[in-house]
Order: sequence, then C-alpha cells, then structure tokens
Amino acid sequence: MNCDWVRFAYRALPLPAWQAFLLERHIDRCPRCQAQALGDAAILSLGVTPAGLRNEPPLRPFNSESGRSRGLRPAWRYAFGFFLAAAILGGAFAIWRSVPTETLPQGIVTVSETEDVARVFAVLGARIGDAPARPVIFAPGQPGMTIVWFEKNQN
Amino acid sequence: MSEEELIRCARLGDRDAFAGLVSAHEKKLLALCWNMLGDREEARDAAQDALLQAFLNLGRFDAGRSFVRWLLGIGAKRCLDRLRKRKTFLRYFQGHAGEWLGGAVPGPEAAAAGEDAGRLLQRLPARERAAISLAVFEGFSAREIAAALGCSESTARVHLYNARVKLKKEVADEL
Ligand SMILES: [Zn+2]
Repeated sequence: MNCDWVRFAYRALPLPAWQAFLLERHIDRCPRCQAQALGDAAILSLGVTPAGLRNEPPLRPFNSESGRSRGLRPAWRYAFGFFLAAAILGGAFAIWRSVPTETLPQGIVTVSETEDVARVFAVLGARIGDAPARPVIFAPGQPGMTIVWFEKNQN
Repeated sequence: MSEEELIRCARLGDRDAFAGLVSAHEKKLLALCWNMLGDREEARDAAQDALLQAFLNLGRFDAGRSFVRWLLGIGAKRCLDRLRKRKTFLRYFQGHAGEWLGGAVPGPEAAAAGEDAGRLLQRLPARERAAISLAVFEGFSAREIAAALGCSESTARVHLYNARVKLKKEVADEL
C-alpha cells in the first residue's frame, strides 16, 4: 500500500472493513502520511480544554422553560426585551429613512422556508447614514430565530 | 453516592442526583460544544440543551456504557444540528448577498462570532470538526465517533484524517 493509494482510498470510502483497517495502519505508520497530518498536541493547542474552563459558571439545564438562561433576573429580562424591540424598530426606521427614494429596497421579505431549517430571510439593502452598512447574520440554531444586525463598514 | 446510584435516582426524576451525576463532566461537555461551535454563548446553550436531553432520555442510557461518553455523544449531535442550520442559512445568504450588497459578504467565521480559541477548528466542515473534537479532545475511538455521529467507522476515520491534514495546512499558512 502506498501513499497515493491512501489518498485515493480516502476519497473512495466507505471501504470494506479490512481495507479501512489497512488504510489506518498505513497512515499510523507512514512518515509521509503522518507528516501531512497535524498531531494531537498541536490540535489541543488550537481549541478549548476543560481545564481552561475552570472559571466558567456552572450550566443550568433546568433554568427557564427553554433551558436557556443568560443569568438576567426577570425584571431585567422584560426591560432588555423592551429595549431590544425598541432598538430593532428604531433601527428599521432609521434604515428606511436613510435610503434614497430611488434605491428604496422592497423591505425585508420572506423568500422561502426550507423543510428542516429556520426561516430564510432576504435583506435587500441597508445603510447607516450615507454609507452602505454591513449585515451580520447569526443563526443560533433555534427554529424560528435568526439575529440580523448592521455595522458600519470599517473601510 | 456512586455513579450507578446517581443514575438510578436521576432516572426517577431526581434533579439533584442528575446534577451530581453531570457535575464532574459538564466542563468536558462545554469544551466540546465550544470547540464545535466556536462561540461561548452558543456552546453554553448547546451544552444545556444536551444536559436537558440527557436527563429526559436517561431511561434509554445503557448502563453497560460509559455515561460521560454517552453525554458527549448527545452534545456532539446537538452541535451538529446547530451547525447544519447555520450552514443552510449562510449558504443561502452568501449565494445572494453579493447581488444585494455589492460584495462584503461575511463568511461563516464572522457568523461564528469571533472567539479566537478554536478559530482554525471553525474552518473545518462540521463533521470533521466533530470527529476531531471527539477524538483529540475527548479520546474517542473511531468506533465511538461513528456511534456518536451516526456514520460508519471508516467515514469517521476519513473525517479524522482529513481534519488533521487540513489543520496542518491551516497552521502552516498562519505561520
Ligand atoms: Zn503514506
């Protein structure tokens, strides 16, 4: 078994179990194949380890109905929700006001809804002041929730 | 109380017993989610989801297996679900944003909300990231990864080797 075959076989997987076994043995022992792969110690330095999370607050799976808590007290949660809604409405109004009439976008429209994911939206354009704004979109993975915000372009 | 006793009580709905059961493992779970998702807040949400799901499904846990590995497997699946939704959305967005915005399209890294830890891991496809997180950070074998991710063992090995090769290249490119 040589290294070229290994590279081919890796693309052709799944292989029969005995071939997969040979493949793995080759990779484990072949200096050329090993040289192309990053070792465990280097990979560990790239990520987060449990020891590095010693100061993280404990998880609270039973906190709040959805199991999600940001540690805000109820009164603050309502206040936060109110300000967030006000900020979104204010932002949408500011964007609407700041876009020249001739290039006025058609707003935010629902384009499609795929079977197994949250709703997909199209943001047709946004400006902050006179400059085009950069949208940042974050889908936290909860059905029905997508967070969209706008930032000034840095350049 | 031993782990078996804690599991028995937690199965009867005892939340304190469950808290005792998972307290020794939750940092491991959070680290796994963080490495897979690249974002602290989302990792905490995913880890909390995984704990809740573990509690609700404790009746299905096979006492002959390792509890922590079962729990981490649930965590990996929760993270993969989140990554799949994120990817579908971003693919759609990136396919159209250029026309709408005249360039300046944020990549998946931007959406993953820039924690520096795990930045290179975030460039791997979701399944490779899951495989390497479970193998290197948690010591899972290819067989255990296959069981956690619902794929064949040989597929798990491919993900692992490909992830290692890509990371090597990413690290070299960074230098
Ligand atoms: Zn080789």
